[in-house]
Amino acid sequence: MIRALVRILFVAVIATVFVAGAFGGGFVVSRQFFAPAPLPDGGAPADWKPYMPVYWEAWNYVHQDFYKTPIDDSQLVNSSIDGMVNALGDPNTRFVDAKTSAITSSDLSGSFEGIGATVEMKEGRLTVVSPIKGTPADKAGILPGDIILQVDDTVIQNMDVMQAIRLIRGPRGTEVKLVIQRAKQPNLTLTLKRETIRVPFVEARMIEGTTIAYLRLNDFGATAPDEMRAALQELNAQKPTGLIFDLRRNPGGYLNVSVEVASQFLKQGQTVLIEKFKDGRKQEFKAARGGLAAEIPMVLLVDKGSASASEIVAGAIKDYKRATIIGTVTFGKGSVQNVHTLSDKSELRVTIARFFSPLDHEIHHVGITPDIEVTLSDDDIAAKRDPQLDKAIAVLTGKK
Amino acid sequence: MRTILRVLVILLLTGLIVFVAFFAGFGLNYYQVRTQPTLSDIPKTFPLFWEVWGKIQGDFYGDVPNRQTLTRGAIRGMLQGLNDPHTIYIEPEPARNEQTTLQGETGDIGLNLDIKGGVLTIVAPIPGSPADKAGLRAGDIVLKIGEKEVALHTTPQEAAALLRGPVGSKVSMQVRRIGEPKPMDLELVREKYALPTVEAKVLPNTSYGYIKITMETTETANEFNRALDTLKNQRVTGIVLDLRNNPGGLFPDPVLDIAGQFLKNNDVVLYEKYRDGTEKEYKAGSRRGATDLKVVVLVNNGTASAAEILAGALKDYGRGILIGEPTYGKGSVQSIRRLSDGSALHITTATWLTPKKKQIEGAGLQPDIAVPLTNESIQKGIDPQLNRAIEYLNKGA
Repeated sequence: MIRALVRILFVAVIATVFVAGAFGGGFVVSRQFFAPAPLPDGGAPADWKPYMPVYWEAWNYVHQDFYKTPIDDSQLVNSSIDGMVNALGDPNTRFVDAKTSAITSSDLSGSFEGIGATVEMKEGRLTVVSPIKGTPADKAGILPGDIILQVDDTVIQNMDVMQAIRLIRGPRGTEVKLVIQRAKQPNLTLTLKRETIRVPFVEARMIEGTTIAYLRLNDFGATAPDEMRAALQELNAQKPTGLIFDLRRNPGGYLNVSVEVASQFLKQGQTVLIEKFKDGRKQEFKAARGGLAAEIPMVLLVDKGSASASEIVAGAIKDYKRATIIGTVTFGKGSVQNVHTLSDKSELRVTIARFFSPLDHEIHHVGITPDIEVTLSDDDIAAKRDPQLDKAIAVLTGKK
Repeated sequence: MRTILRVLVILLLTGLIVFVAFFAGFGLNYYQVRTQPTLSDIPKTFPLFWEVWGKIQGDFYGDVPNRQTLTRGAIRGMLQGLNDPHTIYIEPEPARNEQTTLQGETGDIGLNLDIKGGVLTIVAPIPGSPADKAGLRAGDIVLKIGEKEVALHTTPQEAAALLRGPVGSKVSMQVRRIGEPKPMDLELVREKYALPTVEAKVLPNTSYGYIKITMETTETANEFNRALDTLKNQRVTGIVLDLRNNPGGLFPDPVLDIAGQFLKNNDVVLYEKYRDGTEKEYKAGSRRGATDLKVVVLVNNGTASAAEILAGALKDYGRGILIGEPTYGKGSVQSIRRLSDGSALHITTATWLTPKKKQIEGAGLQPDIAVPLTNESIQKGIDPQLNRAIEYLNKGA
């Protein structure tokens, strides 16, 4: 009985070994004839080699399965780069493909093609700050405070403001459809034709009925220092007793331009900012000589739209107590980007450093706190009131 | 002699088995190699990827994440380049989690989510679920889950993984409802529930039956058949089929069976259209229980996917008119591809067409009679869509 069991067991084990061996053997022999192609690494550097095969696996499946054909490979490569860059987790390090770059690089050149409304993200919603006079946005009746819900077919929600702006802009002559929410009204759908919008970097005037000069800088673009100098000369000719410098909603621009702008208000040799790199290196930028407004009593206006280069200027002015700063806490972007133009004319902005105010105050995620806090409410905007500017005039004229 | 014969038979059999096993192994490898996707040549523009990496590597101020994170970012980005909201990348952990869904084993709050224009949107709360009781509605946009802001292009699967958790634990959410000035903050308790997916009753003071299908699972067709039998025993003369806030679910069997109950023949319920232009037909199930009953179908923007198929088929064959609001427009088919590191891809491989070859994806279905459901009527507990359906069955118009 036991012997029979042992025998059956023996036979079963032998049979299993035979079958498994034959199966395995067949598999191995087959491998000799039909080997799977090794997944490529796509020219990856050594430290990427273990990971890139998964990327090409995904690439293959997309090309094998995706229902819409043909697939635009260069578009996929661009968006892959975008995805890799986004994975760095720094919103200011960005890849802009060649097509988009042609549109956005015009930003700092003083003109762009779009509809001509300044916008900001408020509670995750794209809100119109103001339409620029004479632009398609203005002519279509877009109002400050309007919320842009949708651009063409894309819902705008919790989106990076630059990304939203990129959707709205486009070559002149083309059309863009906006769905707009306005308080107490059904949603409006407007179709606007894009035009070339020219935004002067500098606006200058004397405040009516006073001896106070008003100077506004919209952007730290390449020609801003020249425009500033010209405007200050013109204003100085009218012998102002005070100067209001307005950096509200100024998103920044070139770092070297910020040094030139700050130089107008500081004494030669005063530090404008300290740039700090990852490896611990530091670089200080000093004010140049020949400031045209280094002595005049001054108020600086800032708000949470004052970012980057605006915060460099505001930080220096604050640390040297050069002016009374009025408004609200600034944006808090204290990082410097290096802009590379790549071989195919696409553009890569890489965060390479942080900057600090002359007294070594952190700006990134902190911002510059005004000396006198004055807010600008939606009601103020709707009623075309500007309590921040009013306060600035009051401070300079010595009225309470 | 007999012994020799026996040995011979055993030898022959053994040889045969070994032979078969050998070829099975041979064939397995052959099959694996043949079905492996072959790489179309590496795109000419790909060196740009390494050019960008070179610039980042040298100068980037922050800490550079590990290469695996960056590769996954690249894959995510690649799929976004396809501009298809349902073709998505899923990290290994949620990829494991999603294998357990659709089997009724969900310990969460009962939300069906989708991505619209990059934004995480509620398709519909499952009726009776914590999400439903908390007042969440189709079309609400999810801004935060817990303390975490929902990033643009967060996939429904990633969000669902955040929403799931131990039964009885709490999860907070912030949502925005279009038209409301402020986002709403909610706190929900996760539950485990296996709710019935079909509700049926005779509408009071009428001879009409009301069947509500909340989603499609393995049990739905059976529940529907029982509900229909019960109503027929009560001699109803018409049916209101309520597919509002039905986000779909299991496909194709439940909807093919349910559609079959209403259709006269072995009709095509939908076509699945592939990239090469071929179309696969899905035909109605064989039970014909309600071919003579008048039917009105209630739909809204929470009617999605499999539910839209059912509504589309009844509409196209003239078996039921649609009352309510336009449907959601989710009509594409994804296949799941597992990658070697445990992550997964959902790739859209086909789109759905109604029997009259209308595309569902993006477009949705238009109601024959549009009746909106306003906030006011919800507050007053009135259902104008259902009332319109009864009126239609009464008057035939």
